[in-house]
Amino acid sequence: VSDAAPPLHAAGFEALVREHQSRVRQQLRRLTHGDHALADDLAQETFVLAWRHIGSFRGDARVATWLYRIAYNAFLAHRRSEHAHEPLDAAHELAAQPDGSAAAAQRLDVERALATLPEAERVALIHCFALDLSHAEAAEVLGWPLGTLKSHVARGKARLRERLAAWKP
Amino acid sequence: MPATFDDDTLEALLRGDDMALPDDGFCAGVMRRVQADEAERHALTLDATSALTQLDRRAARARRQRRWHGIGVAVGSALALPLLAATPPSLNPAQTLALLAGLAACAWALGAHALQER
Repeated sequence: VSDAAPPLHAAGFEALVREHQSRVRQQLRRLTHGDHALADDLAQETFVLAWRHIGSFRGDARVATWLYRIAYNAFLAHRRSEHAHEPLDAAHELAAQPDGSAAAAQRLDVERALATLPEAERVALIHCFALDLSHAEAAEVLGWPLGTLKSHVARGKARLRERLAAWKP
Repeated sequence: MPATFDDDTLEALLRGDDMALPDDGFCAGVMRRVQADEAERHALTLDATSALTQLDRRAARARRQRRWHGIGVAVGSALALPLLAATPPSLNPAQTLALLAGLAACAWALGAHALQER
């Protein structure tokens, strides 16, 4: 009730949703281990929150970074509300694809290995590489100090490399 | 699968090749929720305004009652105190009546005020 009316009219906001929906949904699909329905629910929640708080967007970050941050917070809030968090099959989406090429198989292995990493390392790698954010932007989205993010990325990459090597047939 | 991955290969694999997701009604769903959210917030604002109006009315009524109680005590005291100061045997029936009326007004005002405060 206390929030001021958003300075952006509905048509402008709709254009913003249209422009960013894909990236936000991709982020949440990765965070939720490929649960498309949950990811889309959280993405809707993200945009409703963005609409409510658009007046607080200071413009010192990219809109995409601001939206990623809201989405990540929505994901964390959902996680906190779920007592029994059961990770889904990380490779569900990829496994369902008919493409059986070597590249697809390799990516499937990476997705599976990624799902076994500690949460902080997985989240850091997703934001830095899958979402193609700079380290500074990823740190901003996750609300971590830059040094913390960098060490999670380094540890995550090392662990991922180990796990992939261990799976060699 | 290769036994080792250099940094570039690993990062390329992590980046993947995600295609842009089609809208598929997502945007329309968001806008429906935004409109519903706006309507709900508008209703909440109206509720809050109405609640504040009610509180304002209640406070004004309480102020009016307190004023009347004050007047009751003042009038009652003005009637009763001079008569009480006089010597009781010297009171004639009219004065006795005024004394009783003043005491009753005081009692009513104080009682009503005590009830309201509780």
